[in-house]
Amino acid sequence: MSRIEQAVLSAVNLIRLRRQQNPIEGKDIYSLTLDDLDFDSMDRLDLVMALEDYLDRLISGAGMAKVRTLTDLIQFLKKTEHE
Amino acid sequence: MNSDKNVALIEAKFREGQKLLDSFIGQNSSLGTSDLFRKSWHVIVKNKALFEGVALLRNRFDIEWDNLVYFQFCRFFEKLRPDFVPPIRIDRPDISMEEFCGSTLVTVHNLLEIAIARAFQKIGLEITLVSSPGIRLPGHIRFFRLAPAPLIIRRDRNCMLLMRDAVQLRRALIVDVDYTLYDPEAKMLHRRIGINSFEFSKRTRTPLHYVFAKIDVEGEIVVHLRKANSEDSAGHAAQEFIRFLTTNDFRRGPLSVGDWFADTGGKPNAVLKKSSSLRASNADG
Repeated sequence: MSRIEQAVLSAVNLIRLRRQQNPIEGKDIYSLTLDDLDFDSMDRLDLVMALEDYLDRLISGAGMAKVRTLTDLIQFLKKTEHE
Repeated sequence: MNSDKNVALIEAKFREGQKLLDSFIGQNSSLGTSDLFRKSWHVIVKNKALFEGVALLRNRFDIEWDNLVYFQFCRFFEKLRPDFVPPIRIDRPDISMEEFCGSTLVTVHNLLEIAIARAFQKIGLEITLVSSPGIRLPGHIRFFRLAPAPLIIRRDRNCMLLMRDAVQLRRALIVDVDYTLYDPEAKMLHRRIGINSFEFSKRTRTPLHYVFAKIDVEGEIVVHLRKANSEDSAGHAAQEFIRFLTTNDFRRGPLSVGDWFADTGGKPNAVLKKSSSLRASNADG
């Protein structure tokens, strides 16, 4: 699993832990959408802030807002890694 | 619920008030625009009994009669005197733009939110509004002469991502945080203050200000401010905002703290759920 994939998995599971939900497994990040996870606006805010901590860089909220699936999210983070 | 008879009475009184106003304006048409507006507003306030009934008609947010009438009158007056711009000021003369850059300004629906945006734009702030879909903003933006037009963030599942971008760019966010829930058993509306904007400010560590606009006796819109205590939890900050509103003579109540996303599902005309409860704030220190 790449650093970005690991960061996404960790960030998603951090949010789920706060919501007292079971963590998802590594393989799930390739199939789940943000709607599947039922992430509301506050969760998405927490998600972007957690990703910034894990990846040690700023992440555009406008870019994140276009993401629908965790795969989209990983691709977005890879694409913007060196911006 | 209003009976047809009550509605007819309210409308009849309002028409009487309008005639009175038309007569006053006709007799004083030589006055300058500001003077004529101010004195016309005096007439409306003095004849409150003719105008106040409008607050009972189709008024989901229970907006104060004077705000409703003021807005209607201003729209009329603008047609009469195209140079008219509603007078607006902030209650602190020593205010500086720096204090509000990258801040969240929480307020309530009362038809004067765009006036608040204008007041802050006048001191140099770039404004972003957080708005529910379908709210009629373009007319208000034109009327209050906002230039440039503010950015508008739609209140949905991604809104906080965009709100964060805005404050990082040092824009000021203006958010109406009140909402209503209809209780079908009690047949009444519950009024709540949504905690999410207070949590947003806490989690992003950005300044939070309480804002409320009122119309004074001279027909000037006065924007009242108070900076929130950054040490407060989101829940406590929301309670303090309710206290701020009460101090500023907010006439709609009682208010309680709720979670707009959880309570309404992001949809208008939401109904009170039996298990509706406040989302726990993870930002509590």
